[in-house]
Amino acid sequence: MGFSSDDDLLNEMTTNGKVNKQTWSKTTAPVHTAGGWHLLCGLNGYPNAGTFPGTDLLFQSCWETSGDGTVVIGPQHGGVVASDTKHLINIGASMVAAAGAPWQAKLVDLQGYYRLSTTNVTGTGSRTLINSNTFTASSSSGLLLTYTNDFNTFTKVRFTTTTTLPTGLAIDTDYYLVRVSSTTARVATSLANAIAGTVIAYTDAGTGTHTLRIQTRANQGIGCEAFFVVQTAPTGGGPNMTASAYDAPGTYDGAGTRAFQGTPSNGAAADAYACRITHSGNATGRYGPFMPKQGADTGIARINSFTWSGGTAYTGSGVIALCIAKPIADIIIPATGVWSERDLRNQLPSLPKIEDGACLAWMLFGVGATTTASPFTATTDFVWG
Amino acid sequence: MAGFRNYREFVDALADNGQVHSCTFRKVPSQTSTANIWADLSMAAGNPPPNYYVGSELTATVFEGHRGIFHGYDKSPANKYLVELGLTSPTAGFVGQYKLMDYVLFYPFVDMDSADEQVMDNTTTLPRYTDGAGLLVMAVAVTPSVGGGTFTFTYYNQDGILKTSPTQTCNTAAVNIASLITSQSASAATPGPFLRLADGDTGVRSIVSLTNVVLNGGLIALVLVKPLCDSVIREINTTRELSFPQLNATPQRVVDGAYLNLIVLPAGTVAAGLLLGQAKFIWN
Repeated sequence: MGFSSDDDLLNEMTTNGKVNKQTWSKTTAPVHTAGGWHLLCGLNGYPNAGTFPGTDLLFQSCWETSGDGTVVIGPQHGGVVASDTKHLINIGASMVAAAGAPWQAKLVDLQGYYRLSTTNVTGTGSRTLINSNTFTASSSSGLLLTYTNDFNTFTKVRFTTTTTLPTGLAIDTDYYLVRVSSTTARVATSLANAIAGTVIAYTDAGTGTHTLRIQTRANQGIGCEAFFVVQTAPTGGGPNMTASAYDAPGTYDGAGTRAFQGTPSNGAAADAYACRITHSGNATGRYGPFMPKQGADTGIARINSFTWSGGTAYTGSGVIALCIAKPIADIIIPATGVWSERDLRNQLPSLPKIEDGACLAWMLFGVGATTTASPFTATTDFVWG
Repeated sequence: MAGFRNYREFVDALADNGQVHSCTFRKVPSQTSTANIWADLSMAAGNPPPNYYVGSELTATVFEGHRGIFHGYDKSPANKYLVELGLTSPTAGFVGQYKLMDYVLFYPFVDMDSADEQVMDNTTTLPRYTDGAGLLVMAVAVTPSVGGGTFTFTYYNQDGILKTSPTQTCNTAAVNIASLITSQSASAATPGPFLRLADGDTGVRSIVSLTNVVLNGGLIALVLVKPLCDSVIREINTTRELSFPQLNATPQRVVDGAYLNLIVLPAGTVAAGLLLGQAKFIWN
């Protein structure tokens, strides 16, 4: 996997045609306030706009081919290429806006999100997020798991048990759910198998109590970051995060022993409109696109809980998503109408890896207030081998 | 061992191991600055939030690291390095030279209208670079100055030896808040952004006192800083990107707790201008 030389790279691109080019187009709305970060996957354009559907507090994984479970929200960048690896080789981007320049765009792999609505937005108590379910096993065209919550298809999971797992399942091993209904799924041993519908056969149901626990697409969450983004604006407020718990890479038990640092503060109504990352901006406690991780943590595997009890609680009926994403690359757009390009063969990060199934999305930072209805366009070139 | 033994470790940290932190910063100064006089962007609005050099008069005060350009929380025992720095502006005044620095400690409200010796309170000592090696002093106006002054200061150098500085010549022109009062490029006598030290000294451990020779007017903060890297914006709407170590020299180490911010030698006033910056740090 990967490229052994520039010759090999050239051969894969030309002789073997292992390339894919995606063109993006999003239209900003509403006005982006100055100094804020935004996640563009909720905006109209191509790919489709997503709305962070699903069950509140439950991790909803996002994928290239199935999107957020309802709508395909990322570009189709070539599908599963294992045992090759896929890489980003060029990016380009531009904005055309009457005001707002300069901008910084950041390409991320959206691993998934926890949807928050009603009192999960307005409340001041601890929100406990759902990363695991107990399940029973039975036979229905293969091994069928039955559990409580509605996990998206292709959700990556690992299993534990108090006694013996069903035959075909092992601990400390990644599997992929193939959703059958809101409470059932079959199991595949790889993403490619899951997409193809090749699932594990039923032999027995095992014994004891079994648990599935979600995994990020990025191995153990390495390189992943977390942020809150608005889907539907709350009416008012602006709370601070006073407590939280997450799993850092290398922890599998879901104990959530790590915490976000620095009491991130979320924007009030003016900074909490659709697509806005609420804890970016210009005030104390606005750390930029991502919440500060603890110490030398290298990523986020799961988020277990958080509490917004400082500041002023949100009001109204907003919808906010707590996202986990892995940053891929950055590009600066210095002025309106200027096409910026980054050659990722010759610049660091050199040929950043794109995981099979990656749900790619752009984030955008505007130094000034960006005019509404401004087109953001981008291209991404992929190569694998 | 902290640091990188080879490119493989460097690339692994950057691309595969998640040992990376990136940040964006935005500065929208309200203070008027003057062409070719250095200005302190830590006092500018935006993100990170502005620093107003608030503290007890003449008392050594440390900065809170996470209120500067945010480089993540402590990585010890690993070492953290700056590997990318990008600057862009649509504002003509922002064209110029930049210095990214670790602001370590400051003495607020030094009175440049006082002819008395002003003695500093050094109860608080350096939180990092504790011997003072490599730490330089800049004099930042926190109220407008009149100009034309001179002063000296006494300090303990990097070896802990008490020294008296050469006479420092201030700008001949009046400057506004956030300008560095000894950095008027048109004046041959001014030392530049950093105050002159006694011959042979490479850093300042603490400042003992300051005495005005000719009053300059206004109030200043004396700030001990560790310069990390230089950059420029050559023209508006054109991004300048530094990438260490491919395009530039040694990746600069950023120690735990560092308060990072910028000074600029602007082409004109930066008031109401816009500056976009991005930085990336990795650790191992």
